[in-house]
Amino acid sequence: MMRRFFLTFCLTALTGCAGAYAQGVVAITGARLLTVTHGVIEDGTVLVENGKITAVGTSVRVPAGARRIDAKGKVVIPGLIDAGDRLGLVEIPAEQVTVDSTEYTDPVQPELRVLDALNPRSELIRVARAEGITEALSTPAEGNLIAGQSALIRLNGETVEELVVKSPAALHINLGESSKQTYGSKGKPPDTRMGEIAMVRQAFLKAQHYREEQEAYARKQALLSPAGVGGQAQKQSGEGAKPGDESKPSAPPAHDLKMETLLQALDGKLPVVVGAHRLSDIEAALRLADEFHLRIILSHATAAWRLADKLAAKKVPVIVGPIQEEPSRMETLDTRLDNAAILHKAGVPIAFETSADNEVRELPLAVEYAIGNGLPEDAALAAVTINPARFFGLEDQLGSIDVGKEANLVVLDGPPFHVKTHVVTELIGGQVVDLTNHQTELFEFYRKKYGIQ
Amino acid sequence: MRVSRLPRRLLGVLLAAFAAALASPAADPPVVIKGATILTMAGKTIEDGTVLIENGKIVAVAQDVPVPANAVVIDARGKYLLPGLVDPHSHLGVYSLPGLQANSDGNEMTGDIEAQVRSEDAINTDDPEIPRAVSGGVTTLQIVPGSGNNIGGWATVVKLNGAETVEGMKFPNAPPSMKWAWGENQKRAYGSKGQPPGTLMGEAAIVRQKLYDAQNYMAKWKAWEEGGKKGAPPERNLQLESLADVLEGKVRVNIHSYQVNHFAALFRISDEFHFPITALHHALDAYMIAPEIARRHIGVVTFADSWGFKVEAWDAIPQNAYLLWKSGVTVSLHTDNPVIEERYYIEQASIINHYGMPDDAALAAVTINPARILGIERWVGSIEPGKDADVVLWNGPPLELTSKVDRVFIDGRVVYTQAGGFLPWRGRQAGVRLQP
Repeated sequence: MMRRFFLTFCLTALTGCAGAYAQGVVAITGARLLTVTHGVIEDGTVLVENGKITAVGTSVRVPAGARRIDAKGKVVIPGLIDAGDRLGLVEIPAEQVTVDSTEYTDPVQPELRVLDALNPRSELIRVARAEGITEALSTPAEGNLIAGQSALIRLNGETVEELVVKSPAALHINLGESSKQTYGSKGKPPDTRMGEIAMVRQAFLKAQHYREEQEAYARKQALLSPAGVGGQAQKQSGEGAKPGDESKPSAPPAHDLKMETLLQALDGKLPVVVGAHRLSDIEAALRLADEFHLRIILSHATAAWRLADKLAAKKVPVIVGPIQEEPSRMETLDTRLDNAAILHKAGVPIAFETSADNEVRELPLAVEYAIGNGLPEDAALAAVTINPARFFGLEDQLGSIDVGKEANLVVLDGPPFHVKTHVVTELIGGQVVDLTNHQTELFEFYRKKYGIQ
Repeated sequence: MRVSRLPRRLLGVLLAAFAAALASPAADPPVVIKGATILTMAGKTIEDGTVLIENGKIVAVAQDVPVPANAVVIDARGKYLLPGLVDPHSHLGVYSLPGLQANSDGNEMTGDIEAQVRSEDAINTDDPEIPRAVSGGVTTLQIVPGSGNNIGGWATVVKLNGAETVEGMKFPNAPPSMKWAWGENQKRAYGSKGQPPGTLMGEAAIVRQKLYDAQNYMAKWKAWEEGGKKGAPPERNLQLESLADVLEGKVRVNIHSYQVNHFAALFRISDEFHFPITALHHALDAYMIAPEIARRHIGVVTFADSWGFKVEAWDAIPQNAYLLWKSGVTVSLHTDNPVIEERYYIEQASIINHYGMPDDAALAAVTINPARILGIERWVGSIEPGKDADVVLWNGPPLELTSKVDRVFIDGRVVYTQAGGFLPWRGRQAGVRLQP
């Protein structure tokens, strides 16, 4: 089995290197296509040109010179999206110099951007993509209350620019045990859940005030500087100004990066992903969303199954994960393997996250658990493709096998989310990607050294 | 050694066996599990097979077994019967759920050599993980101390039979076993405080010196005994006594270690002091020297695909178990619970299966192989006449993650059903209430 896997890979890699094909034209033919948005197409062909999907169906004409990938008997799915992990931020979790996932210096840091820390050359990216994961929401880790802005990345790129699909993708807030543990133990706020919510509310209130100050200043500027006669009007006004006069010219309010970021969330331009496990933390997240009209997406959401109807009524999407959340913390005692199934049945849009540093490749197996616990297979596939794409406003670009979308495609030798299924070929942005990594190289070396088949 | 705790241990074992014999299984009617695909782990799979259980033991395993008139017959058509899973490396009960400071009893972090401590003195028999573990098909565990110390202490082998006491959970005839650890953890724990060990050199030096101390201790006792036991005997030292047991080859030594340089140091110490190493645990780089490990008859207890979480785990590959198996090493998986939750033990086998290990070999790595490594293969790990009736009925192929445990038998008694949960704890509010 392994041998076939490697042989297949080597052939595709070699042909990829040959480069004798029509520029960027790839046709995957004869496959069972799980399109996600319009059902299953048997014996179908996907045509890829210049990184995009340009035709899907059973009677697609493959242009002469196109590189053909014969996928007869195989299954093609859109690349999987892990809606929450640390890819590009952490290399070896135990070694601090390689960890850029939590800025442990202040619990309120909306201004932090994952974008500024991403390492496209991370080996963890290569290991993850070998199992069919083509995109990931790389987020700040737990530990801070308002933790910063995530980036949605594709798992192929030499530079940060090539890696990033969208940044910022969302603002991240973590409720519950992590931030009070980080700061309370040092005698700093927050030390309780009360403190956490007070700090978040204060931050958003401050941002609202910041906007009021900016608007007041802008109004004043507009008053002082009518279009076309700005300089003169200001001068005249200045001559007549008295101490304390509101019309006195003044410096603009100082730009504040934290506040600018929070304003984007308050304006609904940036979704707010709220990490919460315990029921009460999820309720607190909903209160914050109501008070500040935030567009929230719940993350982890261990106890969300207990609030499924309410979340459905409020149309709050949920990123469930890790699927095999363990009851190892007080806040995760309510964990159930059918959390996703219950939420889906109630009508809550769901996605999945591994929440992992270096175990991102386990996403497909974790999804198998969710299916085994009642989640329909098509809903499971949507939860790792089109749903997360929608959550982050990328549904026109990612998440299904549709004309016009980025060609992130995975050819499998069996049904997805199955222990005995393997990735045969994978395209990211229309390019056939290298599926080797540090681990496959070591395996090959020692397998040959000891003459093992 | 005369003063070894082994005879007392043996006495305890005999008493427990006697008590168990008196207790009841004799009163139970025979149980027949009929129609399942029996994955015996003893060389063959029996389709549409029957297992007869009497007095807590497996009596017959075949396609056709005469059913005694008074037998309870369980229709298992379409289901799969597998031996109860055996986890040779768990911290269940010593790192009880949830992970609170109050539940942290796995590492005596007050000195690097803790040969004198025993996990049996810390096991919480109300760990809420117990019913979850059984719901995942796990029936036998070796509960080991943590890896913060080079010598962590004595391990305890238990059955998850729902007993209220540690004595009641203990695996009756399990040979004594000790947990050691080698590599980054000790350097990090002590070196960062300016205490030894701060390097791998320090780890080796500390352990070698301690083994010299144990030799000196043994010599002192020997002199006293050979001198006609005149005068007061030498003062007993629990730590050196425990290490003396190791030097006399009475203990199965299980060593947490990752890299080839760790293995090399351990082999040197083992050769120098003439005691065998039973198994290397975690051992993520074991595949690099698989033939040597096979030659030394050392077992390997490893993760399926955990990798890269620290430098010594950087070269881990998910085919470690596969390459070791191909090289003739007895290879087992483990959970290191709570690192991987006990209930997900079977997934470790599924993962190595995904990365090329054939079905039977993958399942052997969570049943008969760990039983061999613990020295309890005479009683558990396969479905064969004479063995303890610790068997698990799965509603689908066990390696598929959509399959669920239908029911679990320990010593011939049903302890878990999918509908009824963990039966021994029914009505007993043990520990924290968890979701099913």
